[in-house]
Amino acid sequence: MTRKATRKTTNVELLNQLRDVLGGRRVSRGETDRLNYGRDLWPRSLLEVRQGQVPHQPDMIVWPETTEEVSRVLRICNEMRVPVVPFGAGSGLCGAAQPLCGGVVLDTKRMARIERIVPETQMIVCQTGIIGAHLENELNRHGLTMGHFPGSFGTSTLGGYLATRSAGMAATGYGKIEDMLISMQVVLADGSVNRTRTAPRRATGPDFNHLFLGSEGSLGVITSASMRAHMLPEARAYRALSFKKMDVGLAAVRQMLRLGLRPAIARLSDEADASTTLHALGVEAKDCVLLLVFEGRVARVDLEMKKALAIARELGGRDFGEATAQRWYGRRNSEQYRQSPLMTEEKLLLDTVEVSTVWSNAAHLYTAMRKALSKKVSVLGVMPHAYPEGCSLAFTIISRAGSADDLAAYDAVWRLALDAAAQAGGALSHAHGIGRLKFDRLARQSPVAVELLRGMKRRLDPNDILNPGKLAPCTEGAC
Amino acid sequence: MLKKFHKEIEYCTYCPKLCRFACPVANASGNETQTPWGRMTLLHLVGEGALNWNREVSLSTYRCTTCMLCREYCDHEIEVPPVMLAAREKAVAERMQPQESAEFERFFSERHNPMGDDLAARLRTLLPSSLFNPDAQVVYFPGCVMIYNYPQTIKNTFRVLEAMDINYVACYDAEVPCCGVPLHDQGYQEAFTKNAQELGRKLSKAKVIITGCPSCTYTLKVQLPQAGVQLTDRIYHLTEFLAPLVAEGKLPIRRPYAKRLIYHDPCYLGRYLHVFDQPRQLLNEVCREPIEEFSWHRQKSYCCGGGGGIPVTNPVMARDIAQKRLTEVHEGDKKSLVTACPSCMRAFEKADDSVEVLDVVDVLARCI
Repeated sequence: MTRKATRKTTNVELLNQLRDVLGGRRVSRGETDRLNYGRDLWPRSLLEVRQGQVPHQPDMIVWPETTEEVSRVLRICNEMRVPVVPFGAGSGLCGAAQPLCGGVVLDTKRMARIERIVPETQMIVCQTGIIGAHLENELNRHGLTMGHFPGSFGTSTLGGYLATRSAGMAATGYGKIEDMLISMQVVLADGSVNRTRTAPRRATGPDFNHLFLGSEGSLGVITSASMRAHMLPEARAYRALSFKKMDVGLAAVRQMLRLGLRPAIARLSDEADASTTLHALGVEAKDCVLLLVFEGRVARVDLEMKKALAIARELGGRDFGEATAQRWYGRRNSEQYRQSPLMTEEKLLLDTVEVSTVWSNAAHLYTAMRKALSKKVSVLGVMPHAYPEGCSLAFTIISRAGSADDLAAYDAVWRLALDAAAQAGGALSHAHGIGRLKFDRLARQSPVAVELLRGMKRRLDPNDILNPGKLAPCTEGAC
Repeated sequence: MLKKFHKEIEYCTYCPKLCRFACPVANASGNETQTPWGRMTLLHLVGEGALNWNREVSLSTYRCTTCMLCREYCDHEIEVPPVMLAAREKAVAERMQPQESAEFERFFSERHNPMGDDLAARLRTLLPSSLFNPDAQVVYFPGCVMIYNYPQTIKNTFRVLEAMDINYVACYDAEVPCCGVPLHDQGYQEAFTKNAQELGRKLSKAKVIITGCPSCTYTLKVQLPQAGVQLTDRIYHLTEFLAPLVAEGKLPIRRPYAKRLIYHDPCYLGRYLHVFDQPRQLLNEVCREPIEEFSWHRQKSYCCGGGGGIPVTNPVMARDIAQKRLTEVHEGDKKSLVTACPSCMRAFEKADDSVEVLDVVDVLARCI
């Protein structure tokens, strides 16, 4: 891909043009803003910031409020060949929002208006800069829920969910974000606006929603979306069960889903996770622990729980009752708070390797990854989400974070993790996206797919201004 | 100045921004630098020597309303406002405070209050002289925002007390009219201490102090002692003082309040002083309709944008925060907003003059 002009553009002309569109208050090139928009929540960036480094900083940050303003900003940047990095709330874990080539960070959070909530069709239309927790709060006031509760719930946006194909804690019951999307409005690199049709199902050729889902801001800026919502559950039932081995627990969940049961949450911890993470959250069960949460209409919840317990019993599962699981549910987000004390007091870094596979390969993938990772770091394993055809597996890895070679060690662990995942037949990401972290390995694993991606990028963004260096590499030396 | 906050700064820097959605400043601006995470990261980078302490860093610390809602969503109960206030002290010491803040301090020092007016004279024309008694043991301290903006609420306070046959409460003469919190919020600790000492002398005889302003209550009760000025330990917000008396039936209610009301918990009354029930008890005693609640209420009430000196240094942001809070007031049936803090009232009125904003005591006064 040939870039037609230099990337390093902080010139007055660009600033003036952006100010003409947005006014002075919604364009910044301040040092403090450039520092804070130089990273997302990729744990590698924590190691850098610990050493006082923020290596990639944008030249400017803009806060548009409408699709029209986004369009005008992109038109200007496209004409001037300036990189634009779309930015939600910066909670990504793979470095996808890092402005590798400088340029303009386009923060979407001032586009947070809910345009319509339609309880009778269980649908909402809103701008994509809205923060997940704010959206859920509004839906709840109308008797609805999104059913989408990622760990970053309080600091991530709808646009971010769509651009990374995010999953929430209740994805087993409600699906991932792509299952909730009905239509979207996208601004392309040249400023043109494309809207997919709002209809429950369509057969009008390929679904363009899927072109932009997971595109991590490299193909367009998603500015508005129609989303499926759900009725707030009438009842919720909880259970903690334990199994001697991880493969038995996996089999239990597989059988539950095959029978048509849809727990909102089915979270299976291995022994290491159960004895640390879950124990700290008040779950005193032993061995591998399955936490089940069913929610919805009372009669259905009761029936589904009864059937799930019967399956668990048949496979030798031990029932630790409702209270234990309820205790975990009440504190389920507390896990998110562990990074700070570990970094500050114990010089340790937490990170998550998350992959997915089909049921027939799940136990193998779990064993292979655990074995590979354990050679280098402490590992806690979890099956956080399950689907009829397979599941995701997440490995919390705890590595040292107090010496000069932390970054090299970090990179080595991730190479090991992704190699192990690829060799054992896993998808390299289930819900966190690709970003900077996984692109090289993805390119080696799926060269044809990556070439297709490049082709689309060339067609949609010929000047390579949208989030350059993600999902398609920058031309060497261009930045 | 900031070293003692090492833990707070590091914890927030490494945190995945878990309180972000609750920060009114972050929500109003959409700017990552204006999140607790962003501001603390800058202080971390300054500590690491990777960033110079400069005017931009200083200004970022003035973008906090001190509402403390972030703490509600922090498992470690990290308190960001004290760090921001300490950083503002540093900004003042290094003359890097916002220009508006410097002008404000000059203005304050001329008249001992942020309005630059003779508030004592205003108060004397408002109330009968019989209500001023320098030797009184029970003193009502109205606070500068109340005197300047809501004289009718002060009158209503004494009307309500009179209706309850409470004649032992005298009004403070307001020679030093401000508790000093505006100075404290802007980082002028030395001036705050001086104001506190003068105030301490004026209020030394009071055995009980009642205020109409939660910031005053908190400042007199907590921040003056921290500045070395100890007043009586019986300092109450007006709603705390009235609630048990009204519950005993001492308020003669002639006509219940019939219009719809939604109650806003002021941050300082609620999260700082833990007074949630008393204003609601008072309103429930006199209102025909149940009091409506915001979706963010009580311990998790959302800020009005009037705290932390934001209206002085960032008036547009203060307005945006208040307007966000008022969204729910405009939904459904027409209603008035009732609160128990003159700074909240002022913030809402400045943001949207179409909303009727009342103090709890105004509602009580309409029922007697």
